[in-house]
Amino acid sequence: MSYEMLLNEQDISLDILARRPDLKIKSGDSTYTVFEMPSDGAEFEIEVDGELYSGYRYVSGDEVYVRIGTRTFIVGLPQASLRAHSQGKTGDALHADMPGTVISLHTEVGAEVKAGDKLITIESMKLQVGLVAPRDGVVEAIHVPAETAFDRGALLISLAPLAAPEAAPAKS
Amino acid sequence: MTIIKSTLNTSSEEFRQRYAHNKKAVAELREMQRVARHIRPQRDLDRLAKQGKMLPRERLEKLLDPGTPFLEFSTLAANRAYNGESPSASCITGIGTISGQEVVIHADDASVKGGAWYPLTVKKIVRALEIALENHLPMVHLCDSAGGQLQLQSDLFPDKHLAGRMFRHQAMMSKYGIKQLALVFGQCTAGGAYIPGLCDYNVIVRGTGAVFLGGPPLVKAATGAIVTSEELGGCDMHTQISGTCDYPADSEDDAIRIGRDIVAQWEKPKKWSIQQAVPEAPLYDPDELYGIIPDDIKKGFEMREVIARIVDGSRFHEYQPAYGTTLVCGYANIWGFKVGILANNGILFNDSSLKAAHFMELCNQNNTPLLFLQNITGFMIGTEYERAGITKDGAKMIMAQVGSHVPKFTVMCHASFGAGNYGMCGRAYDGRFLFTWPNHQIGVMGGEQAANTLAEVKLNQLKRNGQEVNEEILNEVRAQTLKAYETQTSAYYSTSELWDDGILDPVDTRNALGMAISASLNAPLGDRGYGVFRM
Repeated sequence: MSYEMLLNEQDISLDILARRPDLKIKSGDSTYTVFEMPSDGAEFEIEVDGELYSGYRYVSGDEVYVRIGTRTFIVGLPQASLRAHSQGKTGDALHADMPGTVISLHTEVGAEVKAGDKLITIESMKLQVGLVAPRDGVVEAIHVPAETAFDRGALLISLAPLAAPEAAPAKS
Repeated sequence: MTIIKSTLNTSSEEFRQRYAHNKKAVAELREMQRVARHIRPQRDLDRLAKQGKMLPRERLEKLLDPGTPFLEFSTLAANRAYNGESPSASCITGIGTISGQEVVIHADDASVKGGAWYPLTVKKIVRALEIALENHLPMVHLCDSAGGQLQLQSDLFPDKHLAGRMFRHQAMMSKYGIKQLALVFGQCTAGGAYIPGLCDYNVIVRGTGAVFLGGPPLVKAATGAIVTSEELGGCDMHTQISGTCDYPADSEDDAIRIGRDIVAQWEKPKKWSIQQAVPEAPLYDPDELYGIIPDDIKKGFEMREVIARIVDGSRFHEYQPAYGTTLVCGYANIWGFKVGILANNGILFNDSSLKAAHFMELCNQNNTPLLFLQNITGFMIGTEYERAGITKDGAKMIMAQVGSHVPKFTVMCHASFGAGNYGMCGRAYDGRFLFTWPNHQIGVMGGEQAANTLAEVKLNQLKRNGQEVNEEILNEVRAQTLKAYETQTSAYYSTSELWDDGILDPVDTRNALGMAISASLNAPLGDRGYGVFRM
C-alpha cells in the first residue's frame, strides 16, 4: 500500500512493506528498517537501519515539525483534490469537454505515449487547448481527424487497454 | 496553503521559443518607454534650460523620497495618437512616496509643446484624479502647462469626462478630506488656473510660475491693456495681493522643499486592516513567465503556472479545484496582502460562471480584495449552452462582481474578448487598477471571428439582392476587418487610448500589484450588498 505525504512541502510517496516485528519502509529505490523507542513527550529516539537518532516533534494544525539532529522537517498530507487535478483524469480515452475543431494531432495510431504528452490540439471559441495523455500507453485509435468539428463529449483519442495484471496465485 | 506544483518544462522547445519571443517583446516595450520618457527635440530642451526650468522627471526625482519606488501609470499613453507628437500624453502620472506619505502625482511636461493638453492628456489626468479619489490618496500636481490644445478643444473641453472633470474631482477630493498640493513651476492658464485654485495648498515659483484665467496676449486682445505675466498672475501678486497662492518660492528647488514639508504636515491616512502575512518571494522564478505566455493569442496556457510566479511562496489555496475548471479561483498573498484570485483557464461555461459568482461572494464575505487574471475569449455559445442559461449565469457573475465592496484589480495577461471582459472586471467595472501585458489583445471578438462574421453578413446581403456571390468581395471584407482589428486590438493601442493604467513587463506584475493593493487600503470598503441574481 502506497502513502502520499508532503515532506518539506514536496510530494513523496512511501510504501510500507512490513509493520512487524519492525517497520519496513520503501521510498524510491531504498528500503529502511525503522524502530521508534517508546516515549511520552515531544522528545523521541528512533532507530533507522541500526543507527540511533534523537529528535523532537511538534504538531501544529495539519503539519508536524520534526527535528532530527540539526535538521527540521515539515511533514503533512497533500490536498487530495489538488493532486487529483494536477495529475489529470485517468482512463483510456480523451473526450472533448466542449464542442470544437481538431487543429492538429501530435501522435499516431500505435505510438507509445507517456502520461502528460500532448496528443491533440483542439480549438473552441478561438481558444486552442492541448489535450494530454492521461497515462502511459499506446494510442489505439484517433476518432476525429484534423480540421474536423466535433460535439461536446465526443471521443477524440483512445489508448489500448493495459494488459490485465497477472492473476494472484490461488491460496492453497 | 499548498505550494503550486509546476509542471513547466523549461528545457522544452515551446518554452524556449516563447521565452525568446517575450524577451524581445519586453525589450521593445522598454525601448518605447525610454523614448517616451526621455527623448525630446533639442530646441524644447534648450528653451526650458534658458527659462531655468527642470525637466518634469528631474523635479520628480527631487520631490519623491530617495530610494522609494514610483509606480508610473500609462507611460505609453497617446503612443498611437497625434502622429506620436504627444509622448506619454504630455504628462506624467503615478503613485510615489513624499515625506513617508503615499501620494498620486500629476506632472505636466513642458518639454512637449509647452505642456499643452491634448484630449488624451486630459483623459490621463482625469484618471489620475480618479485613482486619488477612489483610493483616498493625497495628490500633488506639478503644474507647467500652456493649457488646452485650442485646435482640439471639442475633444477635450465639453463632455462629462473631459477637462471639467478634473476640477470636479478636485473639489470632491477636498470635500472627502483627501488633500491636494499644487507646485506651480510654469504657467497655469485658463482652466489650468483652477488646478492650483482648487488645491488645498499651493506653492508658486517666483519668475516662472504664473496663474491667470487669461494670459497677457488675451488681455491685450480683449482690453488693449499691456501687462507682464508677472504683474498679471505671478508669484508676488498671488501670494501678497490676491491670496490665490499660499507659499512663494525663490526657485524650483525651493518650491520642492516647501512642498515636501507641506506633505510632511498631513495626517497619515488610516488604512483598513486586511489579512496580512509576512511577504515571501515566489518559489518559482518570475523570469519563467516569459516561457509560459504564448506568442499566439489563440493558444491557451496554464494560469496556475502564472499564479505560481506572482504570489508569495507560490502558495495557493484553490477553491473548488474540480468544478468549473476553466476558471481557477483561490486565495493567495501578494507582498503579504491576502487576495482572492480569479484566473481564466479556458472559456467561461455555466459552471465556471457560477463558481466565479460564488467565489466573489466568499471574498466579499471575508473582506478579501479580488484579483482578476484575464485570458478570456468569451462565454461559451451554442444551443446547448443557451438552453442551460449561459446568459443568466454570466449575468450572475457580472452582478456579483459589480456588487463587490472589496477593491478589485485586473491584469490583462492575454486575450480579453467579448462579454468575458465584463465578467472578469474589464475597464468599465471600476477596478482600482488595471494593467496589461505586452501580448494582450482586446476586442468585442477576435479579429478572425469578426472577419468571418462580417463576410457572412455580406454574403447574405449579396444573395438577398440577387447579386452574384463574388469571393473577391468577401475576401476584401475579411482583409479590411482583419487589418482594423489587428491595429485596434493590440495592447499598445489599448494603452494609447488609456484603456489601462499601463503595460507591465510581466515580471514586474507582483511589485505593481503590491503597490496597487497597498494604495487601495486607504479608502474604506464600499457598500455591501448585491442586486438581484437571475436564478
